[in-house]
Amino acid sequence: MDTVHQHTDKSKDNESQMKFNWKLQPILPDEYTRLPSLEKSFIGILKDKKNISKVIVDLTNSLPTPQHLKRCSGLRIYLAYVNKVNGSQTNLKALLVENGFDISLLEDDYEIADIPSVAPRTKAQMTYALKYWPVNFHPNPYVEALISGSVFNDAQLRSLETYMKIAICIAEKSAVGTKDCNGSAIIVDPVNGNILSMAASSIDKHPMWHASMLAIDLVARLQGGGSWNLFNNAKDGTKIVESKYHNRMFPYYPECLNTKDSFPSESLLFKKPDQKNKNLKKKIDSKYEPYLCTGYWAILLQEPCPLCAMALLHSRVSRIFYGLSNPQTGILGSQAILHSIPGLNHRYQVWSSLLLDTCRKTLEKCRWIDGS
Amino acid sequence: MNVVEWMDKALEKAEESLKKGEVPVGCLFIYENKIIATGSNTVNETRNATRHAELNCIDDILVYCQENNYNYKEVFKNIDVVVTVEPCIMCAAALHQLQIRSIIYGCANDRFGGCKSVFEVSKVYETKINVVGNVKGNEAMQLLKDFYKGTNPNAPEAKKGRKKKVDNNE
Ligand SMILES: [Zn+2]
Ligand SMILES: [Zn+2]
Repeated sequence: MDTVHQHTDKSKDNESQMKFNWKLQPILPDEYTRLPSLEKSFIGILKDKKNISKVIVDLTNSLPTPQHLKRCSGLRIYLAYVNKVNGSQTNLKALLVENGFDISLLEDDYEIADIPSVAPRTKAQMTYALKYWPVNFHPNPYVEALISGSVFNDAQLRSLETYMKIAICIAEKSAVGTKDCNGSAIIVDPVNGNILSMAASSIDKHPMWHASMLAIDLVARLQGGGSWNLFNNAKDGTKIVESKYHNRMFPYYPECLNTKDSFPSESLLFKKPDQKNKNLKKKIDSKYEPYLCTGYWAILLQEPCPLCAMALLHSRVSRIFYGLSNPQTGILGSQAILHSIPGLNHRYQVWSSLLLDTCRKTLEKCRWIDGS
Repeated sequence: MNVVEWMDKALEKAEESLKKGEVPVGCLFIYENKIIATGSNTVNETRNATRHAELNCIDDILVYCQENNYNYKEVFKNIDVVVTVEPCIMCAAALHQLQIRSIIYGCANDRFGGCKSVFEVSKVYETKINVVGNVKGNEAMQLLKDFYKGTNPNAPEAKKGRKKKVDNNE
């Protein structure tokens, strides 16, 4: 698929991202990334420049322009999509005459040109559209920030990197998956940076124990629920581990993970929440008890399969960051873009390519079983 | 039993879950013409939004296979799933991964349906499952309507007031 960002990315890299050897890629709905489509249109050539305002006014009622198009490009006047008048210049002239338009103001022969048929959503699309015709465009600052990568500051990117390094440790140590889904998952609370759960794909033990499915059930456990008996040798069914970086405990699966040895020791991740965030958290806590994974972020080694992607959507996570794409069954960018499908009552935002190269190497080392 | 009788049984399961305050969806897994698992939605009970009727049945089948010393992969390949509502994208994915034989459902799932309504999960998988919809669909839909008229007792307070529609998934 052609996208408008491919050729602009390198030049637009902002400084902060240069400090990392990976670059987050937002997974946006098609309408933000594809080249704007073009449609053949009739263009009239104005004989005399001084009639331009008269022509614009006269055409406004008889042949309004689509909202995103301007009427004129120099002396060239947009008239209509060729299809709208069945491809016939004669039809178009008849229509103009019928509407009281003086066709003698235009050259007798109309030009046929490619004109953008949808409104541009991004600056890149606008630049592309402008090569064909002047367009109206109102940039959405958030979308532009997503595309340029400036939504996250260095500290946040560093934290995301740290989470992913942990996900990589988990995957290397114990992930067992199928060709459809493998890797590891971490669920964090972005308000204070705490890890709530983490899990490695364990499909050899249970066909539904994909990393995200396990991580979700572990969060449910924190809230007094949970459905899988993941730790039959622990008394209350939950294995709790104490991290050396922080006095907070969080559940993980499988048990063979040894957090003490293998985790990266960057302390950013567990830094004390600042006062502003603390107050925000208090405010949120007083209003809502934790409900599923509402507002949490998920960090995944690999783009999730439909089972995992929809499980995270049902669980209401707000953001997903993954490393490597999953071309066979991934539906957050590869086979589909789940979070852009109309009708779903919850959406999350998704980024790919977090520590991409390391994730790729890790996945090659993961264990695999035949899923069928 | 024929398909309609099976669906009646699934509807009974759905009614049970309605009484427990869960989204009323009922499900049966049928193997060699016998019901070997029945399930309903337990999202509120488990505080896990993925505990749909189908996934609960899958867990039961795994136990059943372990107890009877069957290879679960072989058993799933011969399972027919009868469920009152079109499986969501997640459950449809699970059923495709397990390569079950067929899905028979009641009403369409306009919010999350993974067979045809919202996203066709079958496009992603090589295995093809035979799918039959709209078996006693009106009855299944009526149960959902009854549920959405009420409120979800387990959703946090602030959510209940804001939206009349229940924040629960199936
Ligand atoms: Zn998965
Ligand atoms: Zn489901």
